[in-house]
Amino acid sequence: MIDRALAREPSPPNRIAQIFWRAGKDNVIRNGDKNYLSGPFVLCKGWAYRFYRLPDGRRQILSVLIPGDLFSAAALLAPDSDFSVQAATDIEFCQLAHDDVRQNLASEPAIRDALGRSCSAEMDEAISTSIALNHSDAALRIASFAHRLTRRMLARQISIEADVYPFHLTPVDIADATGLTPDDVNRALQKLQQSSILNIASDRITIIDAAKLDGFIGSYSTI
Amino acid sequence: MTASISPQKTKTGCANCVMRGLGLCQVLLDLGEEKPWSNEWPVISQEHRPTPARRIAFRQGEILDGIPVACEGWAARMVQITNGRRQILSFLLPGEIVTAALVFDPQLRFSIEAVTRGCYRCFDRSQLRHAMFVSPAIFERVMTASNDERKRAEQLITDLGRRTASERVARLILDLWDRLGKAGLVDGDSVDFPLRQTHIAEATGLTPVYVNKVLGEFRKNGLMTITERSLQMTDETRLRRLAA
Repeated sequence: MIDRALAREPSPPNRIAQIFWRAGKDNVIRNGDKNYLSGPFVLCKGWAYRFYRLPDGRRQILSVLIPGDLFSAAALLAPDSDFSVQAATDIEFCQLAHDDVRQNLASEPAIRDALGRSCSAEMDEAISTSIALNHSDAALRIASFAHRLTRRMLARQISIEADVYPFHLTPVDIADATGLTPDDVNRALQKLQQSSILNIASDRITIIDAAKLDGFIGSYSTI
Repeated sequence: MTASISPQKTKTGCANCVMRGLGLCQVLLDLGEEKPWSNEWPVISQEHRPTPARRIAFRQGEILDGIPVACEGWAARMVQITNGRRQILSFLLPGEIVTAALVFDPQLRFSIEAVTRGCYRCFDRSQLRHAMFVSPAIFERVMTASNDERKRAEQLITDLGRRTASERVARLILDLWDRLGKAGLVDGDSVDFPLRQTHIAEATGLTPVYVNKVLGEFRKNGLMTITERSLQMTDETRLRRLAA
Protein backbone atom coordinates (compact mmCIF):
# COMPACT_ATOMS: atom_id res chain seq x y z
CA MET A 1 0.00 0.00 0.00
CA ILE A 2 1.15 3.48 -0.77
CA ASP A 3 0.74 4.73 2.80
CA ARG A 4 3.09 1.96 4.00
CA ALA A 5 5.55 2.87 1.26
CA LEU A 6 5.38 6.53 2.25
CA ALA A 7 5.91 5.68 5.91
CA ARG A 8 8.82 3.26 5.53
CA GLU A 9 12.40 3.96 6.63
CA PRO A 10 14.45 5.94 5.88
CA SER A 11 12.05 8.78 6.30
CA PRO A 12 12.00 12.11 8.08
CA PRO A 13 10.84 11.94 11.72
CA ASN A 14 8.13 14.58 11.18
CA ARG A 15 6.44 12.82 8.26
CA ILE A 16 3.09 12.64 10.10
CA ALA A 17 1.97 16.23 10.47
CA GLN A 18 -0.92 15.55 12.81
CA ILE A 19 -3.15 12.81 14.22
CA PHE A 20 -6.91 13.39 14.52
CA TRP A 21 -9.87 11.67 16.17
CA ARG A 22 -13.55 11.92 15.30
CA ALA A 23 -16.67 10.31 16.73
CA GLY A 24 -18.95 8.18 14.55
CA LYS A 25 -21.18 10.26 12.18
CA ASP A 26 -18.92 13.32 12.51
CA ASN A 27 -17.94 15.15 9.36
CA VAL A 28 -14.24 14.91 8.57
CA ILE A 29 -13.88 16.80 5.30
CA ARG A 30 -16.42 18.81 3.34
CA ASN A 31 -16.47 19.13 -0.44
CA GLY A 32 -14.30 22.13 -1.37
CA ASP A 33 -12.29 22.18 1.88
CA LYS A 34 -8.67 23.22 1.50
CA ASN A 35 -7.43 20.68 4.10
CA TYR A 36 -5.43 18.92 1.44
CA LEU A 37 -3.09 21.89 1.18
CA SER A 38 -1.31 20.62 4.32
CA GLY A 39 -1.03 17.03 3.14
CA PRO A 40 -2.93 13.82 2.36
CA PHE A 41 -4.90 11.83 4.94
CA VAL A 42 -4.68 8.15 5.93
CA LEU A 43 -7.36 6.37 7.98
CA CYS A 44 -5.68 4.54 10.88
CA LYS A 45 -8.60 3.09 12.90
CA GLY A 46 -12.34 2.71 12.35
CA TRP A 47 -14.49 3.11 9.24
CA ALA A 48 -15.40 6.18 7.22
CA TYR A 49 -16.75 6.90 3.76
CA ARG A 50 -16.17 9.37 0.97
CA PHE A 51 -19.32 10.85 -0.50
CA TYR A 52 -20.68 13.54 -2.78
CA ARG A 53 -23.59 15.71 -1.60
CA LEU A 54 -25.89 17.22 -4.22
CA PRO A 55 -27.20 20.77 -3.67
CA ASP A 56 -30.67 19.47 -2.69
CA GLY A 57 -29.25 17.10 -0.03
CA ARG A 58 -29.13 13.83 -1.96
CA ARG A 59 -26.00 11.86 -1.10
CA GLN A 60 -23.93 9.34 -3.05
CA ILE A 61 -21.32 7.34 -1.16
CA LEU A 62 -18.35 6.94 -3.49
CA SER A 63 -16.20 4.56 -1.47
CA VAL A 64 -15.91 3.03 1.98
CA LEU A 65 -12.64 3.75 3.79
CA ILE A 66 -11.15 1.01 5.97
CA PRO A 67 -7.98 1.19 8.12
CA GLY A 68 -4.90 1.73 5.95
CA ASP A 69 -6.73 3.63 3.17
CA LEU A 70 -5.63 6.99 1.87
CA PHE A 71 -8.78 9.12 1.62
CA SER A 72 -8.00 9.19 -2.10
CA ALA A 73 -4.83 8.05 -3.87
CA ALA A 74 -5.48 10.03 -7.05
CA ALA A 75 -6.18 13.22 -5.07
CA LEU A 76 -2.89 12.91 -3.15
CA LEU A 77 -1.37 16.02 -4.74
CA ALA A 78 -4.64 17.91 -5.24
CA PRO A 79 -4.92 21.19 -3.30
CA ASP A 80 -8.57 20.70 -2.30
CA SER A 81 -11.12 17.94 -2.12
CA ASP A 82 -14.02 17.51 -4.54
CA PHE A 83 -15.66 15.04 -2.10
CA SER A 84 -16.70 14.91 1.55
CA VAL A 85 -15.67 12.38 4.19
CA GLN A 86 -17.76 11.27 7.19
CA ALA A 87 -16.88 8.90 10.03
CA ALA A 88 -19.00 5.73 10.11
CA THR A 89 -17.52 4.73 13.51
CA ASP A 90 -15.17 6.45 15.92
CA ILE A 91 -12.04 6.96 13.85
CA GLU A 92 -8.39 7.89 14.13
CA PHE A 93 -6.66 9.33 11.09
CA CYS A 94 -3.44 11.12 10.32
CA GLN A 95 -2.30 13.76 7.92
CA LEU A 96 1.04 13.24 6.22
CA ALA A 97 3.20 16.32 5.76
CA HIS A 98 2.93 17.56 2.19
CA ASP A 99 6.59 18.53 1.90
CA ASP A 100 7.74 15.11 3.10
CA VAL A 101 5.36 13.33 0.75
CA ARG A 102 6.59 15.38 -2.19
CA GLN A 103 10.19 14.82 -1.18
CA ASN A 104 9.68 11.07 -0.89
CA LEU A 105 7.87 10.97 -4.22
CA ALA A 106 10.65 12.96 -5.86
CA SER A 107 13.45 10.85 -4.46
CA GLU A 108 11.99 7.36 -4.60
CA PRO A 109 10.62 6.01 -7.90
CA ALA A 110 9.25 2.94 -6.09
CA ILE A 111 6.92 5.18 -4.09
CA ARG A 112 5.65 6.84 -7.27
CA ASP A 113 5.02 3.39 -8.71
CA ALA A 114 3.16 2.31 -5.56
CA LEU A 115 1.06 5.47 -5.69
CA GLY A 116 0.31 4.87 -9.37
CA ARG A 117 -0.87 1.35 -8.63
CA SER A 118 -3.10 2.68 -5.84
CA CYS A 119 -4.59 5.17 -8.32
CA SER A 120 -5.25 2.31 -10.78
CA ALA A 121 -6.93 0.26 -8.04
CA GLU A 122 -9.09 3.28 -7.15
CA MET A 123 -10.15 3.64 -10.79
CA ASP A 124 -10.91 -0.10 -11.06
CA GLU A 125 -13.09 0.23 -7.98
CA ALA A 126 -14.91 3.23 -9.46
CA ILE A 127 -15.51 1.42 -12.77
CA SER A 128 -16.85 -1.67 -10.97
CA THR A 129 -19.13 0.52 -8.87
CA SER A 130 -20.58 2.32 -11.88
CA ILE A 131 -21.17 -0.99 -13.68
CA ALA A 132 -23.05 -2.34 -10.66
CA LEU A 133 -25.13 0.86 -10.40
CA ASN A 134 -26.13 0.51 -14.04
CA HIS A 135 -28.06 -2.66 -13.17
CA SER A 136 -31.65 -2.39 -12.03
CA ASP A 137 -31.54 -5.42 -9.67
CA ALA A 138 -31.11 -4.17 -6.08
CA ALA A 139 -29.80 -7.54 -4.81
CA LEU A 140 -27.09 -7.56 -7.47
CA ARG A 141 -26.01 -4.01 -6.61
CA ILE A 142 -25.68 -4.93 -2.93
CA ALA A 143 -23.95 -8.26 -3.63
CA SER A 144 -21.42 -6.47 -5.82
CA PHE A 145 -20.87 -3.82 -3.13
CA ALA A 146 -20.34 -6.48 -0.43
CA HIS A 147 -18.08 -8.52 -2.71
CA ARG A 148 -15.77 -5.58 -3.46
CA LEU A 149 -15.63 -4.53 0.19
CA THR A 150 -14.88 -8.04 1.56
CA ARG A 151 -12.25 -8.60 -1.14
CA ARG A 152 -10.43 -5.46 0.04
CA MET A 153 -10.66 -6.57 3.68
CA LEU A 154 -9.38 -10.04 2.76
CA ALA A 155 -6.36 -8.50 1.00
CA ARG A 156 -5.67 -6.53 4.18
CA GLN A 157 -6.24 -9.56 6.44
CA ILE A 158 -9.20 -7.94 8.17
CA SER A 159 -11.73 -10.62 9.15
CA ILE A 160 -13.55 -12.02 12.17
CA GLU A 161 -13.29 -15.61 10.96
CA ALA A 162 -13.32 -17.35 7.57
CA ASP A 163 -15.90 -15.64 5.31
CA VAL A 164 -17.04 -13.37 8.15
CA TYR A 165 -16.00 -9.71 8.05
CA PRO A 166 -16.71 -6.63 10.17
CA PHE A 167 -19.30 -4.22 8.79
CA HIS A 168 -20.11 -0.77 10.17
CA LEU A 169 -22.64 0.83 7.82
CA THR A 170 -26.37 1.42 8.35
CA PRO A 171 -29.08 0.47 5.79
CA VAL A 172 -29.23 4.19 4.87
CA ASP A 173 -25.48 4.16 4.17
CA ILE A 174 -25.85 1.01 2.02
CA ALA A 175 -28.70 2.69 0.16
CA ASP A 176 -26.57 5.77 -0.52
CA ALA A 177 -23.70 3.59 -1.74
CA THR A 178 -25.87 1.55 -4.11
CA GLY A 179 -28.33 4.16 -5.41
CA LEU A 180 -31.31 2.53 -3.64
CA THR A 181 -33.80 3.41 -0.92
CA PRO A 182 -33.47 1.89 2.59
CA ASP A 183 -36.64 -0.17 1.87
CA ASP A 184 -35.04 -1.55 -1.33
CA VAL A 185 -31.96 -2.42 0.72
CA ASN A 186 -33.91 -4.34 3.36
CA ARG A 187 -35.84 -6.33 0.73
CA ALA A 188 -32.64 -7.10 -1.22
CA LEU A 189 -30.80 -8.21 1.93
CA GLN A 190 -33.66 -10.60 2.73
CA LYS A 191 -33.45 -11.99 -0.80
CA LEU A 192 -29.67 -12.49 -0.57
CA GLN A 193 -30.05 -14.26 2.77
CA GLN A 194 -32.92 -16.48 1.55
CA SER A 195 -30.84 -17.36 -1.54
CA SER A 196 -27.98 -18.41 0.80
CA ILE A 197 -25.57 -15.92 -0.80
CA LEU A 198 -24.68 -13.51 2.01
CA ASN A 199 -26.00 -12.02 5.19
CA ILE A 200 -25.44 -8.55 6.67
CA ALA A 201 -26.43 -8.26 10.33
CA SER A 202 -25.01 -7.33 13.72
CA ASP A 203 -22.00 -5.40 12.47
CA ARG A 204 -20.78 -8.21 10.24
CA ILE A 205 -21.00 -9.54 6.69
CA THR A 206 -21.15 -13.31 6.36
CA ILE A 207 -20.47 -14.80 2.94
CA ILE A 208 -22.72 -17.85 3.10
CA ASP A 209 -21.70 -19.33 -0.26
CA ALA A 210 -18.70 -17.69 -1.99
CA ALA A 211 -19.15 -19.66 -5.24
CA LYS A 212 -22.81 -18.64 -5.43
CA LEU A 213 -21.84 -14.99 -4.80
CA ASP A 214 -19.21 -15.11 -7.57
CA GLY A 215 -21.74 -16.69 -9.94
CA PHE A 216 -24.41 -14.10 -9.11
CA ILE A 217 -22.07 -11.16 -9.71
CA GLY A 218 -20.39 -12.80 -12.70
CA SER A 219 -23.67 -12.66 -14.59
CA TYR A 220 -23.19 -8.89 -14.71
CA SER A 221 -19.55 -7.90 -14.83
CA THR A 222 -17.05 -6.85 -17.47
CA ILE A 223 -15.90 -9.43 -20.00
CA MET B 1 -0.21 16.38 -32.97
CA THR B 2 -2.59 17.53 -35.66
CA ALA B 3 -4.88 20.37 -35.08
CA SER B 4 -8.60 19.88 -35.13
CA ILE B 5 -11.52 17.59 -35.74
CA SER B 6 -11.47 18.70 -39.38
CA PRO B 7 -8.05 17.27 -40.23
CA GLN B 8 -8.44 17.53 -43.98
CA LYS B 9 -8.43 21.33 -43.66
CA THR B 10 -5.52 21.45 -41.23
CA LYS B 11 -1.77 21.38 -41.47
CA THR B 12 -0.37 18.36 -39.69
CA GLY B 13 2.28 18.57 -37.00
CA CYS B 14 2.28 19.24 -33.29
CA ALA B 15 3.28 22.87 -33.70
CA ASN B 16 -0.14 23.57 -35.24
CA CYS B 17 -2.15 21.62 -32.71
CA VAL B 18 -4.78 23.63 -30.88
CA MET B 19 -4.84 20.90 -28.21
CA ARG B 20 -1.20 21.31 -27.36
CA GLY B 21 -1.74 23.55 -24.38
CA LEU B 22 -4.26 21.25 -22.76
CA GLY B 23 -2.97 17.82 -22.09
CA LEU B 24 -0.10 15.51 -21.54
CA CYS B 25 1.38 16.21 -24.95
CA GLN B 26 2.42 19.67 -23.87
CA VAL B 27 4.47 18.30 -21.01
CA LEU B 28 5.94 15.44 -22.99
CA LEU B 29 6.84 17.44 -26.04
CA ASP B 30 7.97 20.64 -24.33
CA LEU B 31 10.01 18.80 -21.75
CA GLY B 32 11.22 16.49 -24.47
CA GLU B 33 12.78 19.42 -26.25
CA GLU B 34 14.42 20.56 -23.01
CA LYS B 35 15.54 16.99 -22.15
CA PRO B 36 15.17 17.45 -18.40
CA TRP B 37 15.67 13.81 -17.46
CA SER B 38 18.68 12.82 -19.55
CA ASN B 39 20.26 13.20 -22.93
CA GLU B 40 19.40 9.66 -23.91
CA TRP B 41 16.22 10.51 -25.82
CA PRO B 42 15.65 13.77 -27.69
CA VAL B 43 11.91 13.07 -27.44
CA ILE B 44 9.93 10.11 -26.22
CA SER B 45 9.42 7.96 -29.30
CA GLN B 46 5.94 7.81 -30.73
CA GLU B 47 3.90 6.11 -33.37
CA HIS B 48 0.68 7.27 -34.99
CA ARG B 49 -2.34 5.02 -35.23
CA PRO B 50 -5.23 6.18 -37.44
CA THR B 51 -8.63 4.61 -36.68
CA PRO B 52 -11.81 4.60 -38.79
CA ALA B 53 -15.11 5.66 -37.22
CA ARG B 54 -17.07 3.11 -35.17
CA ARG B 55 -14.08 0.75 -34.82
CA ILE B 56 -12.36 -0.42 -31.66
CA ALA B 57 -9.01 1.42 -31.52
CA PHE B 58 -7.79 -0.34 -28.35
CA ARG B 59 -9.45 -3.37 -26.82
CA GLN B 60 -10.40 -4.07 -23.19
CA GLY B 61 -7.76 -6.39 -21.65
CA GLU B 62 -5.16 -5.54 -24.32
CA ILE B 63 -1.54 -5.15 -23.13
CA LEU B 64 -0.17 -1.91 -24.61
CA ASP B 65 3.51 -1.02 -25.14
CA GLY B 66 2.52 2.53 -25.98
CA ILE B 67 0.46 5.07 -24.07
CA PRO B 68 -2.03 6.59 -26.52
CA VAL B 69 -3.09 10.22 -26.60
CA ALA B 70 -5.96 11.20 -28.89
CA CYS B 71 -4.86 13.65 -31.60
CA GLU B 72 -8.02 13.80 -33.69
CA GLY B 73 -11.60 12.63 -33.48
CA TRP B 74 -13.97 11.61 -30.72
CA ALA B 75 -13.92 8.22 -28.99
CA ALA B 76 -15.66 6.44 -26.12
CA ARG B 77 -14.09 4.66 -23.16
CA MET B 78 -16.39 1.64 -23.09
CA VAL B 79 -16.77 -1.62 -21.18
CA GLN B 80 -18.51 -4.70 -22.54
CA ILE B 81 -20.63 -6.46 -19.92
CA THR B 82 -21.22 -10.22 -19.75
CA ASN B 83 -24.96 -9.95 -20.46
CA GLY B 84 -24.23 -8.30 -23.82
CA ARG B 85 -24.83 -4.71 -22.71
CA ARG B 86 -22.25 -1.96 -23.02
CA GLN B 87 -21.45 0.93 -20.74
CA ILE B 88 -19.65 4.09 -21.82
CA LEU B 89 -17.50 5.35 -18.95
CA SER B 90 -16.61 8.68 -20.58
CA PHE B 91 -15.79 10.28 -23.90
CA LEU B 92 -12.26 10.91 -25.12
CA LEU B 93 -11.64 14.22 -26.90
CA PRO B 94 -8.60 15.40 -28.86
CA GLY B 95 -5.57 16.15 -26.70
CA GLU B 96 -6.55 13.71 -23.91
CA ILE B 97 -4.60 10.67 -22.72
CA VAL B 98 -6.56 7.40 -23.11
CA THR B 99 -5.94 6.67 -19.42
CA ALA B 100 -3.15 7.63 -17.03
CA ALA B 101 -3.44 4.15 -15.45
CA LEU B 102 -1.50 2.75 -18.43
CA VAL B 103 1.65 4.41 -17.12
CA PHE B 104 1.55 2.06 -14.15
CA ASP B 105 -0.19 -1.00 -15.59
CA PRO B 106 -0.01 -1.90 -19.32
CA GLN B 107 -3.35 -3.74 -19.37
CA LEU B 108 -6.25 -1.62 -20.62
CA ARG B 109 -9.32 -1.91 -18.35
CA PHE B 110 -11.80 -0.77 -21.03
CA SER B 111 -12.03 -0.47 -24.80
CA ILE B 112 -11.56 2.70 -26.83
CA GLU B 113 -14.19 2.84 -29.55
CA ALA B 114 -13.86 5.54 -32.19
CA VAL B 115 -16.99 7.68 -32.52
CA THR B 116 -15.53 9.52 -35.52
CA ARG B 117 -12.44 8.91 -37.62
CA GLY B 118 -9.48 9.51 -35.35
CA CYS B 119 -5.76 9.34 -34.84
CA TYR B 120 -3.72 8.46 -31.77
CA ARG B 121 -0.13 9.29 -30.86
CA CYS B 122 1.27 6.37 -28.83
CA PHE B 123 4.17 7.31 -26.53
CA ASP B 124 6.63 4.55 -25.69
CA ARG B 125 5.55 3.30 -22.27
CA SER B 126 8.96 2.33 -20.85
CA GLN B 127 10.51 5.65 -21.89
CA LEU B 128 7.60 7.59 -20.43
CA ARG B 129 7.88 5.67 -17.15
CA HIS B 130 11.60 6.42 -16.99
CA ALA B 131 10.99 10.10 -17.71
CA MET B 132 8.28 10.18 -15.03
CA PHE B 133 10.59 8.65 -12.42
CA VAL B 134 13.28 11.23 -13.17
CA SER B 135 11.06 14.25 -13.69
CA PRO B 136 8.63 15.31 -10.91
CA ALA B 137 6.91 17.62 -13.44
CA ILE B 138 5.91 14.68 -15.63
CA PHE B 139 4.87 12.67 -12.57
CA GLU B 140 2.64 15.52 -11.36
CA ARG B 141 1.06 15.83 -14.81
CA VAL B 142 0.28 12.11 -14.84
CA MET B 143 -1.20 12.41 -11.32
CA THR B 144 -3.37 15.32 -12.43
CA ALA B 145 -4.67 13.27 -15.37
CA SER B 146 -5.32 10.38 -12.98
CA ASN B 147 -7.24 12.63 -10.57
CA ASP B 148 -9.33 14.06 -13.42
CA GLU B 149 -10.25 10.48 -14.42
CA ARG B 150 -11.22 9.66 -10.84
CA LYS B 151 -13.43 12.74 -10.61
CA ARG B 152 -15.18 11.86 -13.86
CA ALA B 153 -15.64 8.21 -12.79
CA GLU B 154 -17.09 9.30 -9.45
CA GLN B 155 -19.44 11.78 -11.08
CA LEU B 156 -20.70 8.87 -13.20
CA ILE B 157 -21.32 6.91 -9.98
CA THR B 158 -23.30 9.86 -8.62
CA ASP B 159 -25.22 10.17 -11.91
CA LEU B 160 -26.22 6.51 -11.88
CA GLY B 161 -26.89 6.37 -8.16
CA ARG B 162 -28.69 9.60 -7.43
CA ARG B 163 -29.37 11.84 -10.42
CA THR B 164 -32.52 11.93 -12.57
CA ALA B 165 -32.49 11.27 -16.33
CA SER B 166 -32.64 15.01 -17.18
CA GLU B 167 -29.81 15.80 -14.76
CA ARG B 168 -27.62 13.04 -16.19
CA VAL B 169 -28.07 14.14 -19.81
CA ALA B 170 -27.63 17.82 -18.93
CA ARG B 171 -24.42 17.09 -17.03
CA LEU B 172 -22.98 14.99 -19.85
CA ILE B 173 -23.68 17.70 -22.42
CA LEU B 174 -22.29 20.48 -20.22
CA ASP B 175 -19.14 18.47 -19.44
CA LEU B 176 -18.49 18.01 -23.18
CA TRP B 177 -19.43 21.65 -23.87
CA ASP B 178 -16.92 22.88 -21.27
CA ARG B 179 -14.11 20.59 -22.48
CA LEU B 180 -14.69 21.54 -26.12
CA GLY B 181 -14.82 25.20 -25.09
CA LYS B 182 -11.41 24.94 -23.42
CA ALA B 183 -10.09 23.40 -26.63
CA GLY B 184 -11.40 26.38 -28.60
CA LEU B 185 -13.80 24.20 -30.58
CA VAL B 186 -17.02 25.99 -29.59
CA ASP B 187 -18.11 28.45 -32.24
CA GLY B 188 -20.41 31.03 -30.63
CA ASP B 189 -23.34 29.02 -29.34
CA SER B 190 -22.75 25.85 -31.38
CA VAL B 191 -20.26 23.03 -31.65
CA ASP B 192 -19.70 19.90 -33.80
CA PHE B 193 -21.40 17.07 -31.94
CA PRO B 194 -20.98 13.60 -33.47
CA LEU B 195 -22.65 11.57 -30.67
CA ARG B 196 -25.79 9.59 -31.43
CA GLN B 197 -28.58 9.05 -28.94
CA THR B 198 -27.32 5.49 -28.33
CA HIS B 199 -23.97 6.94 -27.21
CA ILE B 200 -25.72 9.29 -24.77
CA ALA B 201 -27.88 6.40 -23.53
CA GLU B 202 -24.88 4.15 -22.91
CA ALA B 203 -23.07 6.96 -21.10
CA THR B 204 -25.97 7.81 -18.78
CA GLY B 205 -27.50 4.40 -18.02
CA LEU B 206 -30.72 5.29 -19.86
CA THR B 207 -32.49 3.80 -22.86
CA PRO B 208 -32.26 5.55 -26.27
CA VAL B 209 -36.03 6.13 -26.09
CA TYR B 210 -35.66 7.92 -22.76
CA VAL B 211 -32.73 9.99 -24.08
CA ASN B 212 -34.86 10.98 -27.06
CA LYS B 213 -37.62 12.11 -24.70
CA VAL B 214 -35.20 14.13 -22.52
CA LEU B 215 -33.56 15.82 -25.52
CA GLY B 216 -37.04 16.61 -26.86
CA GLU B 217 -37.89 18.33 -23.56
CA PHE B 218 -34.64 20.30 -23.64
CA ARG B 219 -35.46 21.47 -27.17
CA LYS B 220 -39.06 22.30 -26.27
CA ASN B 221 -37.97 24.29 -23.22
CA GLY B 222 -35.40 26.27 -25.22
CA LEU B 223 -32.30 24.88 -23.46
CA MET B 224 -30.38 23.27 -26.34
CA THR B 225 -30.85 21.45 -29.62
CA ILE B 226 -28.94 18.64 -31.32
CA THR B 227 -29.35 18.41 -35.10
CA GLU B 228 -27.23 16.93 -37.89
CA ARG B 229 -24.05 16.39 -35.84
CA SER B 230 -24.24 19.85 -34.33
CA LEU B 231 -25.21 21.05 -30.85
CA GLN B 232 -26.69 24.47 -30.38
CA MET B 233 -26.77 25.88 -26.85
CA THR B 234 -29.73 28.21 -26.40
CA ASP B 235 -29.93 28.69 -22.61
CA GLU B 236 -26.73 27.54 -20.88
CA THR B 237 -27.66 29.12 -17.52
CA ARG B 238 -30.91 27.17 -17.19
CA LEU B 239 -29.25 23.97 -18.38
CA ARG B 240 -26.58 24.38 -15.66
CA ARG B 241 -29.28 24.98 -13.06
CA LEU B 242 -30.99 21.77 -14.15
CA ALA B 243 -27.73 19.77 -14.08
CA ALA B 244 -27.44 19.91 -10.24
